[in-house]
Amino acid sequence: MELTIIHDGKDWVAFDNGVEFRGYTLEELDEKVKAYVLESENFASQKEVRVWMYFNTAVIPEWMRQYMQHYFNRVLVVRREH
Amino acid sequence: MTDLSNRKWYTGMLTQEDWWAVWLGLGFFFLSLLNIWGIDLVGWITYPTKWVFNPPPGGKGDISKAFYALGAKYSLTAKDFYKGLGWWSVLWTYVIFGVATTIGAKCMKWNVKKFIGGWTIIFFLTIATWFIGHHAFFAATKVDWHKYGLNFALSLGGGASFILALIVGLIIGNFFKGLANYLTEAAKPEWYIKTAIVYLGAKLGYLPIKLAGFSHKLGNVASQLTFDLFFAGATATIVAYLIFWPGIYTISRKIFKLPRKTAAVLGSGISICGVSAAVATGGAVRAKPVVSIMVSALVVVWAVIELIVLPGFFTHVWPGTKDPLVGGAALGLSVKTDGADAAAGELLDTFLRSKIQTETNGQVVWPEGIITASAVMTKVWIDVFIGIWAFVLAMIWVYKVERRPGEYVPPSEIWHRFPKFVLGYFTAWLLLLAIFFGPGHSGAPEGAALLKSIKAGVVPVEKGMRKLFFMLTFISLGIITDFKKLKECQFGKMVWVYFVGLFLFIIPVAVIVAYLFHHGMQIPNIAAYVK
Repeated sequence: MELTIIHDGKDWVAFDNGVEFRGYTLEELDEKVKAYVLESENFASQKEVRVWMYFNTAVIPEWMRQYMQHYFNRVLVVRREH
Repeated sequence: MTDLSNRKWYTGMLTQEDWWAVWLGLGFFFLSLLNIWGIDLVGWITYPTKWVFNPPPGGKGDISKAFYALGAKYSLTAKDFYKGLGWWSVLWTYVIFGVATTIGAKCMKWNVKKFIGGWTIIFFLTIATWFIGHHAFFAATKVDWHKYGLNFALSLGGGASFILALIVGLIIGNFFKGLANYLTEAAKPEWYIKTAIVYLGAKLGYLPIKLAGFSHKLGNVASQLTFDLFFAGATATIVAYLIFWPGIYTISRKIFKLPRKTAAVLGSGISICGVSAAVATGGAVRAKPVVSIMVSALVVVWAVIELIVLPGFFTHVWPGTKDPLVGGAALGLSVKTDGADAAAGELLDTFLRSKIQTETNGQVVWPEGIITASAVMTKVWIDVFIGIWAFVLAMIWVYKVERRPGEYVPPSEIWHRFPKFVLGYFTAWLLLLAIFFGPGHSGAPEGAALLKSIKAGVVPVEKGMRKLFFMLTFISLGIITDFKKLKECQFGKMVWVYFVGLFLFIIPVAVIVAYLFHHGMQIPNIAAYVK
């Protein structure tokens, strides 16, 4: 699963076509993503789902992007316990 | 919102300034190598020369020759054509680099109309300051005063133009904010300086070729010196990451009681490589972007303050002309953005070369660019490891400090944070070195013809294009530096950490370390070979 992640000034927001998760902390965000993955039928057959979160540096001020054009990408590994 | 996330290893090759510095830098560098086959496509680059309103009879300084195409002096195959350009070379340079940078701006999805307007204003302001700064009163060294009919001049060399460009930029940035805002689209000091650093790679590789033209032995001395700088510069990495960072982090935490993430980001901003390190570390420790933004605003202003203060200090107080490469390396260790560091190095280079000529009455002349190279080399070493540093920091943070279950740090982060312009810098340097030691026969007579054709092509790049992009950097740095931001942002403690950390820790340690590893390195004297 691939998501784009940003910080909107208040919350971390991870989203993709039609789905959006919000959390004041990354822990809160991760809990919502995990819950979605575990409940989603799309991933029902998979024991482990890797959720890639790509930070969109468009939220970093334009004048700063010339110095460093990458904030972070992270992977959340969601394991289904049977 | 435009998607600027890095998803694949090749993401950003056409959409990021870092990559565009490589394309602009290596593009014109490779174009220059066509001279090997007698095709000169780079000799149009404009270059200033010293001038006065009333040159003395038989003297120098005719204003009509204040700008000329470098091909008029160095081209082997199109000298007559480039001689005819004269001042028109300014327009050629404007159009060719205007087209090249606009293609870059278009690919990076900037506002092209605004970019062209901004580029035009910045370019011609650059030319104007370059021209004024080359009035012999500012630029002529003591040994040349009489040639321009002067009894006194400031002897600043090319440094006067850089200072003037910075002042003009700062005036716009601080007093004409509407104009500064309009120019922002084209005021990209990091893009310009990274491009200039690729050209500096060509300069470094060309140095042995140039000096071999004077004598075979000098060519080999120069190549050895560039290697010495390369290895001595490596120490900067250890100092920045293992001495500066823990020191600033500790000062921030223990004395100023800053939160852990803020201390980490601030530590990187002050200790490592400024804004890029602040952003990389902010991402690594998963800080809210606002932390990196605040630190970055501080870094940019403090770097410009260092740029204003340090070259003059290292020239006139210590180490001066006794240990010129110590000053250069100390700049690389202490000035925290690539733009301000390279600009400060270039200033120090022009100041010290003028000073040594004046002190020795022309008996000692240093080739230009070596002191700049010492400042940039240490910085490049620091830059190269930022990706690995941020990766390690991310692992410590994610697996130990915050222990977020299920999170994994992908190793591809190292590549995404790697400064790509460094690839251009090393490619240009190593390719020219390979030509020098290979088919150039280390400057021996059998390689002379090839090295002469290389010279015809590379000089417009390492001299003309490099200096132009340095000038663009100075003026752009000024435009984006608004000193009021410091006051408005009310950073309080962070400003004090920066002040204390920089002046009582970073700069003194930088000077000591630079002295330990660069003390005694000698720049070759080329006085016997130049007019």
